[in-house]
Amino acid sequence: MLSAWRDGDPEALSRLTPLVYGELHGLAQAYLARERPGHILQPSALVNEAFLRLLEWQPDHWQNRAHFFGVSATLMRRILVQSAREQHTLKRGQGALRVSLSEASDVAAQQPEGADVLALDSALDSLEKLNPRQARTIELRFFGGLSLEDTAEVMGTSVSTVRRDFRMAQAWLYQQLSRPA
Amino acid sequence: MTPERYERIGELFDAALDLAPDDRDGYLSQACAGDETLRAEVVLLLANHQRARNFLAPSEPLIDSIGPYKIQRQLGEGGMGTVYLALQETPLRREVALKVIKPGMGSKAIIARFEGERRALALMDHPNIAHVLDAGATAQGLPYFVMEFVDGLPVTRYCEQHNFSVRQRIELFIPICQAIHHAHQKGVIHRDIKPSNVLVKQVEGLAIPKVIDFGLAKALHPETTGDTMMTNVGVILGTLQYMSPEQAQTGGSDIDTRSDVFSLGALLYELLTGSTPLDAKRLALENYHALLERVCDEEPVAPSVRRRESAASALSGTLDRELDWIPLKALEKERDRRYESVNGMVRDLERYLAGEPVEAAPPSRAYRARKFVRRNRLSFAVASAFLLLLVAAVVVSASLAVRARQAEQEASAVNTFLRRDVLAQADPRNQAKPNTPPDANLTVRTALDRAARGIAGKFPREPLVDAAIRDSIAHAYQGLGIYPKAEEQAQRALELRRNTLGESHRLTLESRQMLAMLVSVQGRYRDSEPMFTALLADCRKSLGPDDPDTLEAWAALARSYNLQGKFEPALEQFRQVEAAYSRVLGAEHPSTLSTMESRGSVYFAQRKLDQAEALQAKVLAARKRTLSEEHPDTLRAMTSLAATYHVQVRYPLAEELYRRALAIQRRVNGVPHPETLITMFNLGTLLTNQARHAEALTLLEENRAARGAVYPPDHPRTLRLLVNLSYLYGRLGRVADELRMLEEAYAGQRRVLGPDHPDTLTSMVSLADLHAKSQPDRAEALARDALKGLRGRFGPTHPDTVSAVCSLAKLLQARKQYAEAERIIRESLGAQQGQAGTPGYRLRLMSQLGEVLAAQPDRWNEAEPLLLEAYEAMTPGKNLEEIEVFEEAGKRVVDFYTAKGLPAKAAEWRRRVEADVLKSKTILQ
Repeated sequence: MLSAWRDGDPEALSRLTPLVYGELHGLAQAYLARERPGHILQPSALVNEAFLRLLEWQPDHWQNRAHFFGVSATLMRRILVQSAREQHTLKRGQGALRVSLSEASDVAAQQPEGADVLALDSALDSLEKLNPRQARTIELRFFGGLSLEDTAEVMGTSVSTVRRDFRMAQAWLYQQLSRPA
Repeated sequence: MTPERYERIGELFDAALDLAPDDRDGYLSQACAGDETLRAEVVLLLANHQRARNFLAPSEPLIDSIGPYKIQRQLGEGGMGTVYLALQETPLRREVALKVIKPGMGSKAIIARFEGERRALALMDHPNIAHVLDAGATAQGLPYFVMEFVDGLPVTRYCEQHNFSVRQRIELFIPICQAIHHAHQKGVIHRDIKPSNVLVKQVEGLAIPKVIDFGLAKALHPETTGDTMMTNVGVILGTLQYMSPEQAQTGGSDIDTRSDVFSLGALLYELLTGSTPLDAKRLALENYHALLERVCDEEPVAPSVRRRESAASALSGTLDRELDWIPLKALEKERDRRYESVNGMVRDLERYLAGEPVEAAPPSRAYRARKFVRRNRLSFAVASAFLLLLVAAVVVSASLAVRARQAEQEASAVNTFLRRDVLAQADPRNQAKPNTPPDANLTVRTALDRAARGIAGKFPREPLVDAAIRDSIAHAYQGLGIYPKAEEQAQRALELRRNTLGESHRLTLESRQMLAMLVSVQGRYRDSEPMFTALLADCRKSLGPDDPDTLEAWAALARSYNLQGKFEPALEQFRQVEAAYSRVLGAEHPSTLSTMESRGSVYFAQRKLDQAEALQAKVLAARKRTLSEEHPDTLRAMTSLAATYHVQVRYPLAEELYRRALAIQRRVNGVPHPETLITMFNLGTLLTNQARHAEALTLLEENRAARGAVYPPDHPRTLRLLVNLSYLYGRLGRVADELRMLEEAYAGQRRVLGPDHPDTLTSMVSLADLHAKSQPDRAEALARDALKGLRGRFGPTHPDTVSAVCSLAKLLQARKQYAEAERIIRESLGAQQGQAGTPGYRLRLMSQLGEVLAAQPDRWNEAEPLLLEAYEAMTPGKNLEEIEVFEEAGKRVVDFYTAKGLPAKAAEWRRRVEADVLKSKTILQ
C-alpha cells in the first residue's frame, strides 16, 4: 500500500492513513499511560516503533520511509493533542499532559521546566501563519522524528534550508513557550 | 507580527548566526539601521537559540545500540561525553545509563585503567552507590561506561526544588557521606564528587541519594593534569570548584581519601549556602592558573556569613554559626587538618543534628554548657508544667475525697510516687544520654509512660487518688496529642470513679466527658454521639441546665453533629449553647468564644462564607484581647479565619495568616501536634491551589509523615490529607499514585465516616471522574450515589452538588445516554431558579447542557446558543475554580465548531478563549 501511494494512487493514502493512525494511537496510549514527569516525551520513538511494526506487513518500505514519516508526523501531532485534551477534560480540575524538555544534568542553565503539548500545538498554529514551511519542519522533525535528510526529502528542499528553518523555528517556539504566562 | 516581518527577522537571525559571536552586535547595529525594535527582536531570538539547545529536536537515530545495549534516548550531554538511557537485555532486562566518552581521549588507556579498578569497584555494595556495570568501546572506538540508571536530579537542584530546610539537607547529605565512606573502605576513591554526580531520586516520597560515576575519574584522568581534556571552560569550572588543592596541583597522582573529604566539604558548603566555597561567578573570569592558585590558597568565607551575604538567594533564614565548623574543617587546604575520614565528618553532623557540641571546633567548657542548656530548655519547661498538673490533681482529690488524717498519708504516698517514678525521669541528669535526638517531649513522654505503668497497684485503697492521677496523665497525654494512651488512662479513671462514686457524680461525669471527647478527637464521631447524648441528659439531671459542665457537654454534642456533617442540628444546638454561655459566663468568656468559633465552622462547611468570616474575625479579635497572640486558642482562630480567606480565594491574606500561625505553632507545640498539623495541611492545600506544587508537596508529605505520631492511619483528617495529596499527585502527573491514594482515602472514609458523610461523597465524585473511562459502570453508580447524598446534605445549590451533577452528566453523555444526561441537568437548573448568589452555577450547568446537545448532531441548533450564552455571560475572576469552569465552557465552543466542520471559526474561538483565560488569570494574580 505504501508503494502504491508513492506511485500516485490517491486512494492509497486514505486507505493507509487509518492503518497508521490505529497503530500510532495504540502506541501513544501505551506511552502516555506510563508517562511520568521528568521523563522526556519522544514522539519520534513512537513513530519509529510504529514504522517497524507496519514493516512486518509491508516489506517494500525503504523508498517510502520518508513519506511514511511525513504522514505519521501529522497524525502523531493530532493524537498527542487529542490525548492531552482528553486528559484535560477527564481529570479533576486541570490536568494537562506535561512534557519535559531534555536537559543536560551537568549544566544548570535556566530552562522552562516543561511545555505541554497543547501549548506547543497552539504555538505551532501561530507559526504556521508566519511561516508555514518552518511549522511543517518542526512537525516533521519533532512529531515525526525525521532526520534532516528525510525532512528535506519530504519537503522537497535542501538539507541546509531544513537546518536553517529548524534553527529559527526552534528558537522562536522556545521563546513563545518559555514566556511567562 | 506579519509574515514579512518574521521573514526579515529570520534573515538577520541567520546572517548573525553565521558570524562569529563577537561580530554579531556590530552587524546587527548596522543592518537594523536604527530600528531598535527589530534589533531587540533578533537579539532575543538569538539568545533563545542559545538556550533552546535540543528543544524539539528529535534524538538522531545515529546509533540504536552500543554493544549489547539498546539505546532508548539521550539523557544529557556533559563535559566528558553523552549519556544515554539504554536497555540491557541479558542477563537481565533493565534500564541502564550509558556514558559515551567524547573522541580524543585514548579509549584503550581509559578502558585499561578502568579494568584495573574493576575488582575494587565490584566489592562495593551500598544502597546509595550506583554501580558502574560495564565498560567497552563503541564500533567507532569511543569508550563507554554502563551504569545503574538513576532517574533523579543533582542533589543541589533537588534540595532547591523541594525547598529543603538546613536539617533536611544535612539529613540527605549524611547517606551520601556514608556511601563514600563505604567506597573508601573498599579501597575506591571517587575523585570527582560534585552535585551532578550525586543524584537524588524520589522513592515513595522519600529522597534517596545515589552517588554515580565511581571509578570513572580515575579511568579518565591521566597521570598529569589533563590539559588536553580541560578544553572546555565549563568542565574546568564544574570540577575545580569541588577539587582539593592536592588534586588540582598533582592532577590526581598524589591523592587519598581525604581528597574526597574535601569535595564532600565543598558539596556540603554549597548545600548550606547555595554557592560553592570559591565563588563561581568570580571563577569564571579568571584563567586556569589563577584558578589553580585560588583553589590552593583562598580560604572560604564561613558558610553562615556567605549565606547572609547572598540574601538574594533562594535560601532563607540564617545558618547556625556552629555548623560553620564542619564544612570548614573538611575544606582545610592541608589534608592533615581535615577530618581523617568521611566517617568523622558524619559523626560531627550527627552530633550537630542531635544538638550536641561538634568536634570540629575546639570546644570550650562554656560552649558545651551553653549547648546543653539550649538542648534541654524546652524539656525543662514542659516537665515543670506536667508536674504542676500532677500536684494539682493530688490536692483536688485529697480535698474532695478524704478526711484530713487520711489526706496526710495519701499525700505522702503520692509524694513518694512522684519522686521515685516521675521526678527521677524528669531530671535532665538522668535522661541526657549521648546520641539522643533533642526531642522536646522526651522528658515528659518518658515520665508519663513511666507514671502510667507505675501507677498500677500503687493505690489499691484509694481509687479516687488513683483516678485523679490517671485523669491527670490522660490530660497530659492529650495535651501532647498522644490520644490512644490518653484514652486508655481516661477509660481506667472513669471505671474507678464510676465504681466508687456512681454514674452521676460530677467527677464521673467529667471522666465521661473526657472519654467521649477523646473518642471524638480520634475520629470515631459516630461512636461519640451517643456518649455525648447520654452525658448531656445525665448532666442536666444531676448538675442542672446552666451548670458549666452541662453546657460543655451540650457544646460537645453539637460539635459531634458538625463533625458528622449534620449541619442544621449542629447550628441550632450551637446557637442555644452560645446564648446560655453568654448569659451564665459572659460574652467574652473563653467558652462563649469557643462556641461562637464552632458556629463559624459550621457556616464554613456550608460555604456561607460571609457569616463564617464575621464570626471568626470577632473570635480572633476577642482572643487577641483577652488571651495573647501566642495562645493556642488565638492561633486556632487565626487558622480558621485564614481558611475562610482561603476558600474566598483571598490567597495572600490566607497565606500570611497561615504562616504566622504555623511559625508560632511549630515553635510552641512542635510539629506532630494536631493543631500544627491542621495549619500545615491548610497551607499545603493553599499552595496546591496556587500551583506551587513543589512547596505543597514538601509540606503535605511532611504533614503525612508527622501524623503517624498523633492519629490512627484512618483518622478522617488523615484521609482528607490523602485526598488532597492524591489531587496534588495528579497535578504532578503521578496518575497511578493519584488513583491509589484516592481509592485508599475513599475506602477509609466509607469505613470510618460512613457512606453519607460529605467527605466520602466528594471523594466519590472525584473517583467517578477518574474512572469515567476505565470503569464506566462503577463511575456512574458512584456519581449517582454521590449526587443523591450531596443533594440531601447540602441542598441542590451547593457547589459540590453542582459539580456532582456535571460529573454525572459527562459520564452519561460518554455512554450516549443523552436524554438522561439532559434530564439531570435540567432538573438541577430548575433548582437554581430563584436562588440567590448562584448565577455562576446556572451558567456552568447551561454550558454542560450545551455539551450534551452538541454530542447529538440533530440538536446542534439548540446547542449553539446555549454554549455561546453560557460562555459570554460567565465572569470569572474571583477564583481559580471559576476560571477552570470558564475555560471548560470556552473549550466546549471550540470543540463544537470543530465537530461541526468549521475549523476557521474553531480557531478563532480558540484564540479568544485563550486570551480571555490568560486575562482572568492575570487579574487573579
